Amino acid sequence: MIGRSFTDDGLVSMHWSNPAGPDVLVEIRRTNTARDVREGLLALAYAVQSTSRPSTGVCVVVDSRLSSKRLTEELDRFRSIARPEVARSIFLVWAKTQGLFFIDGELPEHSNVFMQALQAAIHEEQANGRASRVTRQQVKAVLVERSLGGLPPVTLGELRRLTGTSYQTASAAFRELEQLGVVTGERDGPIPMHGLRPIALMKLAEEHALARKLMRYTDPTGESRTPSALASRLLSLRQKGVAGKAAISGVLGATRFFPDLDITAAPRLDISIYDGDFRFMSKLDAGLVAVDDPKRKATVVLHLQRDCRPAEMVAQEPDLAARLDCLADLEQMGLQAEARDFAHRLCNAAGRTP
Amino acid sequence: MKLEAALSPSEVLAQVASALPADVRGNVIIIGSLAAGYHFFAGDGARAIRTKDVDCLFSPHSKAIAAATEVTDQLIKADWKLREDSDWGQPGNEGDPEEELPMVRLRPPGETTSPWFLELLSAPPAFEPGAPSKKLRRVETSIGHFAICSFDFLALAEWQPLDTVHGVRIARPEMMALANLLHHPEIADTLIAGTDYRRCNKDLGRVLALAYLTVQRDRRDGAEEFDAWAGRMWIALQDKFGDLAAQLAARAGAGLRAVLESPADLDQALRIANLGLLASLDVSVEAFRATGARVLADVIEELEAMAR
Repeated sequence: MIGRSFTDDGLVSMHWSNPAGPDVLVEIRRTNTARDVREGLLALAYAVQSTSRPSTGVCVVVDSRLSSKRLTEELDRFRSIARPEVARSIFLVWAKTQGLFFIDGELPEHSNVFMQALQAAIHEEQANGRASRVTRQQVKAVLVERSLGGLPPVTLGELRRLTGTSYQTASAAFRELEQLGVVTGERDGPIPMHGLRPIALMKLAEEHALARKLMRYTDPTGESRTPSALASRLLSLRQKGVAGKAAISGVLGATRFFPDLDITAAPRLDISIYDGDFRFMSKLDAGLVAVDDPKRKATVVLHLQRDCRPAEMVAQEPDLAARLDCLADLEQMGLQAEARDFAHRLCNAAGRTP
Repeated sequence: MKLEAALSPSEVLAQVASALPADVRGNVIIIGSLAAGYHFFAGDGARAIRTKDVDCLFSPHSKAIAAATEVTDQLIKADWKLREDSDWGQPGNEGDPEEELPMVRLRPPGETTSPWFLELLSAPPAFEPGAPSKKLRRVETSIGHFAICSFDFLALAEWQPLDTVHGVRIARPEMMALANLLHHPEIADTLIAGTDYRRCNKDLGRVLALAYLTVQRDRRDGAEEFDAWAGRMWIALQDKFGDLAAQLAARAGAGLRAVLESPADLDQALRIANLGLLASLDVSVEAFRATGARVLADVIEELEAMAR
C-alpha cells in the first residue's frame, strides 16, 4: 500500500507499507547540490523516527550532475554522524530517467511491488516538478503574503519546506528582497521583513503580476452580469465543489480586505486560479468568450499562478485571493491611486510602516 | 423574405383583445412574436417587432372549436376580412376534407390593408406518442368551413401563461422556446413558404432570440428569470407529457446543437431573428453564438441533468 507524504507535513515523497517487514519511506530529490542531498537524508532520519511502525528511509536523487562516488561519500558521511540504528536504516540511491530508466545503489527492499511503486513515484515527482518548479518570484510572493498576513517570520529552511524550492532559489529570493531593502542580510533564524514598505510592495506586486498567466473573457452580447453577481455565482459554484482552487481577487478582493477602501466599483471580476483548472468558466457564464485583444473590455480576468497564500489564510477564507494578487490586479488595471492606497493599508495592517 | 412593417406589440395586442368577444378572452393565449414582443417590449415605444401573423391559441382543447367559431363569426361581423390568398382565400364547405379547408386567417378592418393578420390555432389533445404532431379540426362558421390546427408541443404554451392588462394571456417565453426546441430535433430541409429559409432555423433562432431578450431583461432588472428556465421546463414537461418527460428533455437540445455547429444555419437563424423579434436590436453573430452557449449550458444541460 502506498501513501503520499503523510508522515510529517510532507517531509517525504512516498510511504510504502511493507506487509513483510519494515515500511519504506522515500524522499525524492531532483538536485545538483550536496546540500540538498544532506537535507533529504536528514528529513528521512526525522521521518523514520516519527513513524509508529518500524521503517527504513531511501533518498532517491534523480538525474543529478552529482557523481555516484560523491553521493556514496555523502551517505557515508551521514552514517558516520548519525546514531547507528538510524544510520543503518537510511539509504541513498540515484536514478536516471533520461533514456533508459535505472536506479543504482543499495535499497532496503527489492520486491517487484516496491520497485514498481518506487518507479511510479519518481515519474510522478518528475511530472509534478516540471509543472510546478518554484521560481524566485514565487518564493518572494510566499514571504510577502505571510508578512502581510501578520504571520511570524520564517527561517530559510522553513521557507524551503513551505515552498518546496531548492536552497539556491530560496537564498536568491532573499538576496533580491535584500536589494529592495525588505530584509537584512542576516540568514540565521527567522528572517523578519521589517523593510516591507508600500513602494517596495508595489514593486513586488508588479513583478508578481508579470509572472502570472492571464486569460481575459469578454461578453459579446454586451449583457454581462455585474462583477459582484459573477462573484456570487463563483462562490455558489465553490459550495457545489466546483472551482475549488479559484479565489476572488482584484477590486472585489481588495475591498474584502478593506471594506472602506476608496475605490471605484469593480470594472470586472478578477479570479486567481491556483491549480490551472478553469473549466468552471462554462458554469460561471457559458456566454463569455476568451479573447486575446487587451483593448476589449473584459468581464472576467483569470490569473493562473501558484498559490502564495499561507495555509492559515486558505483555511480561514478559501475563496479570497492573496493580498499580493489583489494589489497586482489593481496595478494591472491601471488603478494606480487605488493600488497605492491599498499598499499603504496593507503595510499599515501588517505593522510595517513606521 | 418580404420585410414586414415594424409593429408596436402593445398596440397590436390591445387591438386583438378588444376585437375578441369578452367571454372567450379567457380562453385565448397569444403565442409567437407578438407574445414575445409584448412580454419584452410593452411600455417601450422605441422597441418594435416585425411579424405578419398574430397567433391566437384557444385553450383548453375541449373549448377550442366553439371559441374559434364564435371569434370568427364576431370578427367577420366586425368587418375583418379573410386574408387574400389565391389557393386558400375562400372558406370551404361540409364536403371538403379537413386537410383541404383553409385556416382561419383574418385581417383587421381599415382603409389601408393591415400589415398583419390573425391566425387561429387550437391547443392540442392529450399527447399520443407516434401520432402526427399536426392535427386539423373543422370549424363551421356563418360564412363556411375552416380548419384550425394544433401541434403537440403547443401544449407547453398552455403551461402557466402570463396575464396581460388586455384580458388575454400570453405564452411564457421559455415555454415557446421549449416547444420550438422539441419541434426541431434536427436541421430539416423544410422551407418557409415563399423563401429559401429553413423553418427550423427560424424557430430555433427564435429560441436564441427569446434567451437573448430574457438575459437582457435580467441584467436590466437584476432578475434571474433565465436561470429559472430549465426548472420550469422540467415541471411543464412532466405536467404535460407525464412519463415521457425525461425522454423529451433528453432530446430537447439536439436541433439547437446542430444549428450552433453549422455556421450557415446559425447565420440564417440570426438573419431571420434580426428581421423579426430582434428587429430593433441588430444582434451580432458573436453575441448570438454566445447566447447559444448560455442556452446549452444553463438550460439544455440543466434540463438533461434533471431528466437523469
